[in-house]
Amino acid sequence: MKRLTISTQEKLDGYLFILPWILGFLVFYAGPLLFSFVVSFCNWDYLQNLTFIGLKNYFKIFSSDAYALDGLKKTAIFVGLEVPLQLGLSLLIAYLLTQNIRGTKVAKAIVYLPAVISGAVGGIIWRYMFNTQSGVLNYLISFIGIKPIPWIDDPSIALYSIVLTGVWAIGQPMILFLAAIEGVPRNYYESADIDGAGKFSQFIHITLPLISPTIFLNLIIVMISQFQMLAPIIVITSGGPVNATRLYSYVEYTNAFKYLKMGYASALSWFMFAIILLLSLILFKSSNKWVYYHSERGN
Amino acid sequence: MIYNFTIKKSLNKIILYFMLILTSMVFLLPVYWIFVKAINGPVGIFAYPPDIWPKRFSIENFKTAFSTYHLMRNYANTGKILLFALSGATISSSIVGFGFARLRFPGRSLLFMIVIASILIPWDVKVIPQFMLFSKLGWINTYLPLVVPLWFGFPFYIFIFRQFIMQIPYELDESAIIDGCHRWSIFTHIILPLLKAPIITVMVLEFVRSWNDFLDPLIYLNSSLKYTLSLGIYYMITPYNMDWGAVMAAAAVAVLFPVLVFFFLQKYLLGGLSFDGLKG
Repeated sequence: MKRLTISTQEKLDGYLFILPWILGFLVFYAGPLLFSFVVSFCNWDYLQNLTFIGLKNYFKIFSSDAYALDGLKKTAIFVGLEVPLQLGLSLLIAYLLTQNIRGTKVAKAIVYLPAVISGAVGGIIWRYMFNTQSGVLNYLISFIGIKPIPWIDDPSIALYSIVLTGVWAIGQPMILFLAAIEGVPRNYYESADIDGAGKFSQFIHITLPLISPTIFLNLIIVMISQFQMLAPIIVITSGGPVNATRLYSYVEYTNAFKYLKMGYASALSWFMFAIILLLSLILFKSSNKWVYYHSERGN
Repeated sequence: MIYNFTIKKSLNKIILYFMLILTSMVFLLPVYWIFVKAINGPVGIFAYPPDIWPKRFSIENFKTAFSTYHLMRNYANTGKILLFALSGATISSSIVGFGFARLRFPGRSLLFMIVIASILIPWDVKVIPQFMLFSKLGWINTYLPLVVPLWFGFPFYIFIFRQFIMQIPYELDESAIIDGCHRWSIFTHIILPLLKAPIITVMVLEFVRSWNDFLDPLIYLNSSLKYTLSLGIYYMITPYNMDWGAVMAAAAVAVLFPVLVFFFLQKYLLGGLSFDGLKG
């Protein structure tokens, strides 16, 4: 109450404390991003001078670059599969881990484990296990009578195999779900028990609405990260076989760092950013309808 | 009636345990497979059907990985990066976090919103301009692009420190201000000693992030003398004459440290991710 006016000294100290971040933000984020936005309207192969070419880079995405549009379609399929699979499975596992049984702590650690393994190592072990002739996956599925699957050798299957490796790495959304489910007040379930509601109905009518803010958070995080998914592609398939896994992010990566077409690659990256931003905005708008904040203050 | 009820209950339990064990096995399989194949020796790698249980034991794969593929050098390189990444991220983010949590200045909430928003900037949007910047500065094939930005506050860690510091009673600062302490000494003498939990959390998170970073080293490092662990393993894959045994040994060595750190410090890692381990 005493400190209604902020002293000049405090303001100055405040800026001094956050100065490292302000500098870092200007030099490593804002400046470069602004520059790349300008470059996206230029022709620049990194060695020669910049020449302004207007919207040509952006037109190229839709017209002369066969890989970019095709990659965008593949990314759409990939994200469309990965988001519901990752969210659904991590929610299911988180629910399983909150049941009153032994061993959930160990299982939690095991399910999270892939998240501490690098994209390179994770990719390599999957690539090894995917081997059609000698891989352990085909050996294991032979026990239940499934014939060997050419996981990453067949262009019509490879993309779905990559989806599978993503489903393996759901530690982070699972942990967020777990914390949210544990945060649901016990007495909600107790009164539902008295009313005779079954476990399934309790999950649908109590758990799901109460953890909807976490569902929303995970939806945003997983969607953004899956749009950018790149490391497993580089390590496992390098975009092959026959371009089957040449996702948009891989097209962008090769244009930037293999062909050094920085102008075009910048345009590709800004286009992707615009799509992610638009989808996030739509999700945010829709969240009023289905995300339920149960804070007492009434958000 | 009661009899039926108990049967139904134990059947439920059996199904739950079955699902728990199945889930654990599926998620563990790839990691388990790295270790089995690593210790199986060069012969075991070609065994078909594959030995689900390790039947042979040999350190031959590890020897090859260390001698032919310079695993030790890559290890040391990753260690160097970690040293500067961990210290830089922790020091700078705690200072900035303190500023956002404790001092009032015009534009504070707007600037903090920008911090949060910058967590969400996609990697591929910022990597191209950052690459152009770092190559202009002549930082290609050095560790500087991997380390220097961390010394200017890492948005997610700033968030963690700010949240934690905001839960520390302000009376501590206030009485020190009355005693004539400067903000900087309040930070170093009063607040910093209380930050053990978020410091460990940030260090564990940054350890996992830096150790596993693959795309940035791939883009910025081009001499094999500079390769990090994950980059070195990636380059062990060649179209011809590939030694899967050595690759698995290197992978085993590369995952061992994060796995150990994770099992001993998982409280801090999982707490930091779910935001609730930081309370109190």
